[in-house]
Amino acid sequence: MSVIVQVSELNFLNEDGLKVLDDIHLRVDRGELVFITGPAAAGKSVLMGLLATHVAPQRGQILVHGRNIARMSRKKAYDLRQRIGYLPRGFTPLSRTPMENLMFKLRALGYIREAAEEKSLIALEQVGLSSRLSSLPESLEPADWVRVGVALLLCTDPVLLLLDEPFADLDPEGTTEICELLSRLRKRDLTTVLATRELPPMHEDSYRLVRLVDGRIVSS
Amino acid sequence: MRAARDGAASTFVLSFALIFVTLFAFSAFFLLAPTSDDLEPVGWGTGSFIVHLVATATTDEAQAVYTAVRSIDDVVQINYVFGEELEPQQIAGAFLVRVNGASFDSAREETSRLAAVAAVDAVDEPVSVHKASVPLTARAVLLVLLVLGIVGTLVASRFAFRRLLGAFSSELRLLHLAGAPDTTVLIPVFVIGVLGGVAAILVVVLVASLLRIAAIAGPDGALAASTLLADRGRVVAVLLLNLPVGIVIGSLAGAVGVGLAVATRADTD
Repeated sequence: MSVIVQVSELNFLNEDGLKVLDDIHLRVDRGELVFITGPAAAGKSVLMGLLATHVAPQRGQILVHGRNIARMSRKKAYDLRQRIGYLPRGFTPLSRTPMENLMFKLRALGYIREAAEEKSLIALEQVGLSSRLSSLPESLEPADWVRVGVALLLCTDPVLLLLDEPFADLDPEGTTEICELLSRLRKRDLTTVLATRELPPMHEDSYRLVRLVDGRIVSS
Repeated sequence: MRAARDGAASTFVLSFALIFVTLFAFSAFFLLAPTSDDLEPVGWGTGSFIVHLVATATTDEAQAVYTAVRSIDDVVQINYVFGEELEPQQIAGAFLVRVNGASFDSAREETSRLAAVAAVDAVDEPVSVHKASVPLTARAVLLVLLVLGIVGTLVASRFAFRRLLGAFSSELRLLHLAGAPDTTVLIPVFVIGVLGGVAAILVVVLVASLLRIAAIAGPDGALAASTLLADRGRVVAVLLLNLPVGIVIGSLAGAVGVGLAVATRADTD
């Protein structure tokens, strides 16, 4: 089984010099679904930002898809971002239809119209939105917006999905829908790391749990 | 969101209008007719005289006159003076000649003989000759307009780009997360600034053309008298000069936008 994420001796201080992450060691293999849980200010979002190359590492090593993030040039970091699907906390898609959201991203990344349309349709089908391609933003439920967010990540064939608090604004029904989506993605051998405060209603065998408290991994 | 985009558009229009004002002031420097009021005398006063050429003098004839003057003993300096520097609307130029003070009379006598040459209109002492130029007040106003135009353009561009980037913040964030290269955003932002400069140039060309038509066909001739719009070559030259100036100012406005876009991107990291 190939390694997608390998984190070693990772430390991170915030602007005030306080330790946010303390000696983190983490390995995520291909096809795994990993939940990083912990209370508020445990360092979950910072860890996700580091894995997504959106936060510059200070000490330690982070290998994503075999590439060392700390030693990466800006250009290579952008290239890698196209292979990492990162949905930050509080992310909202554009106020456009699901199809237009994906088309905007793919066209901006240089895909020709036909290829962009094809990839958009496949990604929206994967998240179960193929019947709502042209739905107006007002008519979509919060869970649908998370689906659009995940479709935005899937449309560029990522090797890793990073989702930060995707259940934050969802009701129990919406949370269950997204959990089912995650299970389907796992069956397709897609690697997903998800940060959340509370564990969603999923079967324990379907994911691996990493518990983060005060910047340290207390159970893995 | 729509209001923010409309606000950005109206601020951009203001920014482009200010580029136009800048270019208009710049053009006016060269297209306002010089007047002979409160002007300085041309030449070196005592010990010098002026050889006026006829309006039809060719380059070769002017060269021949210069050579003839040069060959006179005790001539220490010869300068060519354009007609407009002597009198407004004057086409024919002249040579300003300085001679050694002790030999002035003999040199003057020799030079007077040049009046017989076909290309020479007259030989005068430059006592009553004045240098014509655009009045100081007009120059000051144009300079203030020029400075205000440039500063105003940069300030308005900053506001416009800030509003524009704010209105498209969701799109920019999505591009950022997607790993789109910086150039995806920065190039269009810069091009908007340059296009503003080009648009302002086109408006200046249009306005100058209309003014030129009015100057030529105007019934009272006031516009033609107070400007050099009737001089086609000068108008074309000034409009050509506007090209680089307009593009540079537009590029500066674009650079302001690029700076803001880079700062915005850094904030989202």
